[in-house]
Amino acid sequence: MKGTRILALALAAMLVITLVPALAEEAPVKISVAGYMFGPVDNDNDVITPLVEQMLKEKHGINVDIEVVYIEQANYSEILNTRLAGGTAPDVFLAQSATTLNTYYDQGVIKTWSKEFFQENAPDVYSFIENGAAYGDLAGDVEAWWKAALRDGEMVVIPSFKPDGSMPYKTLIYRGDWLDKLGVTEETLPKTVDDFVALMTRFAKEDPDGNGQDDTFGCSLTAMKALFGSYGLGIGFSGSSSYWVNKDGVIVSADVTDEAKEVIGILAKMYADGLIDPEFVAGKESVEGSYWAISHGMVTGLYGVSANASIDHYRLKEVLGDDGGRCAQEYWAVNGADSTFVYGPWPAGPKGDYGWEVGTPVAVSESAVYNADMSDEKLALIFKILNAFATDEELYMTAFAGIEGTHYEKNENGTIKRLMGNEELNAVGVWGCRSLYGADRAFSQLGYDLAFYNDVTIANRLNWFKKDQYNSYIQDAVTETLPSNDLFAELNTLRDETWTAMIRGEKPLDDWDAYVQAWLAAGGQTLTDEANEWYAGN
Amino acid sequence: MVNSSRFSVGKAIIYALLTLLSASIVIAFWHLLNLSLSPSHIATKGGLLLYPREATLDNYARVIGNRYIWLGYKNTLIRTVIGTVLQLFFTAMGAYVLSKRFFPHRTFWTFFIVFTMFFSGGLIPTYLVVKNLGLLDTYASMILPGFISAYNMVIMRNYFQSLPEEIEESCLIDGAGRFRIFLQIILPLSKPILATVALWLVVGHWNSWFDVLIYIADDTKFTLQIVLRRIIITGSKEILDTSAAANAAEMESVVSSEGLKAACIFVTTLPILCAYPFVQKFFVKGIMIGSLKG
Repeated sequence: MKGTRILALALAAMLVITLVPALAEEAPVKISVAGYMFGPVDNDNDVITPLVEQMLKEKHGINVDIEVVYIEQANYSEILNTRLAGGTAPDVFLAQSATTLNTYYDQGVIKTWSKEFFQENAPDVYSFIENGAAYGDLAGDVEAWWKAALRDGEMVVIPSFKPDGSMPYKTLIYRGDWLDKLGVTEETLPKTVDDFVALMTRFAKEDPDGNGQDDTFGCSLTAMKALFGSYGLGIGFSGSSSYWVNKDGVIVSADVTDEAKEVIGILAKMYADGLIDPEFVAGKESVEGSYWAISHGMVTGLYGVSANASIDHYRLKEVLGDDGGRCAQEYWAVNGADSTFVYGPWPAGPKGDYGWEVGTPVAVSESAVYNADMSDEKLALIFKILNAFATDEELYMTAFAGIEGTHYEKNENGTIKRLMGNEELNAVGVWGCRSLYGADRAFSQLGYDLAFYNDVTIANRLNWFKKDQYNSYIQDAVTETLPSNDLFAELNTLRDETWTAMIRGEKPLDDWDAYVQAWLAAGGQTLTDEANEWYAGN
Repeated sequence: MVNSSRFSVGKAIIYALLTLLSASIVIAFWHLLNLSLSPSHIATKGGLLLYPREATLDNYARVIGNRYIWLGYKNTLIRTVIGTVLQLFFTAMGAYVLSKRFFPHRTFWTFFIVFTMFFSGGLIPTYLVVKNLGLLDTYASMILPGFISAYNMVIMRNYFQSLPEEIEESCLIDGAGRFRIFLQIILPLSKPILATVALWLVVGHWNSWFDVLIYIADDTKFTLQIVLRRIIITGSKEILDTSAAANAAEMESVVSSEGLKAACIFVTTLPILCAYPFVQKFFVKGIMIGSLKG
């Protein structure tokens, strides 16, 4: 009998204990976010995250406790994978790439949900996407967006949707002083491969730096790669996986096309004539440890032209009224404040092809995915937050830019000027909620105006690219990661070694067929089959 | 007989080679020092700087103004001091036991420890162990996972074995216990090897960053190398996927200048550089003595 009484007492006590907190205010739901960050958030000085929480609670009735988790960008996947295995991963993290996204999906570590669930909890974001984003500019790409978001009929990610995604990115940048010395003007810059090679010859032979020594070369590695565009190919040489091209309905890798062989032939001839630096692969383009877009060989006057950066990296001071693009600053620092550079057109090949790789408006690399461990209620809450960011300008501006006057100022042209460095802004909480409002901008008119339409640098880029042969169109025929993607590692090494040897004259061009056979045997055939299978299914 | 003080060609060559070798190290440091003292327009120009063409302390001012550098210093000092003292003491204790011939199954235990040098649990299992022990975000996670190095222990064991047995026997006769012998006789006699291993441990702790990257999420516990690493690698990679779409924020990202990087490297490396010469004298002696007897 005594035992029963104790049990009854205990049960009653439990009832009281569980009831008491329910009477008090409901505790906020904890959401941890690890987005793209420049540095850790300084919890003692984080003014933005509490403000965002307060606004969400007061204006939208969403009671959350946001924990911003800093994961170093350089080792993001390594750290995240360890935490996923250990069960300590944050609720919201980055997909990083289509490949990692697929891996996460296959391993079941990320949450999936239905289209209806998304529409129900984030109705404004849903219709924004369905309507082709801001101004309906991307109406033609809505299908591609859904394709990227869905796996087996369920959504796994909210991809980013960028109007500038299919805009050509990199461009040829020539040294202005060399062109002046040789009497070449922007109008007379080479527009064909032959003219391009001729100018490279003059760069190498006519002492364009005027120091009386034979110490100059024609073009850098990235500018050499531009020649593949002249033959209609996007190319991964050296280092990355190559582009697929559609040849009359059959998908082939650009790495084993006859056109690639022709380009290698041209490059080998240029090399033999002394137009190419013997150490072209040794990293005088991007130097390890310094900013990736800087072509050190071009900036320091070893090469006359490179294609390692975008026009925005070489933005002129008057465009934004700032110090100029990141690479332009470097160029002026090394060559003098009055030194010049010239944006160049892509040289056209025999069939009139020219250009450089362009991307797609849909990407997942900066997009958020959600920990499979979370409940559906929590995911619904996260989508409600996503929707709040898309509809509430004040809330979005706080999370994206901080407090006006302290962290940013509004420019007349509708853009903003940040008043601190990225790392300092991150420390006070700006961008901490990045993965909660979208990839790096909200899915709203305001977000898109700020990021694209009011942005002078993008307008500046578009202006240049309106000119003939400054624009580009070369796109990968396969936009999905292939199942045997890992095979590329070996294939890329084979390609890079063979091509480098052929350019340097260490291997005859006649070995091309043997190279193609070796490439197919080493996994190229498997990948080609998969690429065609993918193409047939689309 | 060759007079050792006499000039000989062989010696000249050796000296020349050694001078070249030291120059290859000194010049790099000298260049770095000058780089750190140069304003950015000179630093970005590249090339070897043998003297500062324009000196400025701006870079150092910025490094010193970075709160993470100081937090990093504090954390690195904590892990280095605590880690080194504890690891040294326990490694020495283990090594001492293994050095005793009468220790039962000594060969087996030695093998048991050496065995671990060839295998490791792998990143994720180790992470799980650290996590389940509740060590995440603690200083212990920087010290305990690699607490005893089999290599260091074997080196120490070899050294202890080279000490004459008779010393201990006489201590035993005088009434000292094993622990007292270890503390008051063996350890003081083993200064060279202790200094050597301590130096390795100090340098190891000072330079290590990967364990912090994996186990520590709390930014106030980040060590110096993590901070340094972040400053150095910012913007050094093209963080764009094949869609080639520009990440707006990445484009506007402020990249550390070459001079700032150099200043950071100097500030973080200098203390360990200063410690080196004082321990060096034990260094050669320590390993050599240990290695003579197996």
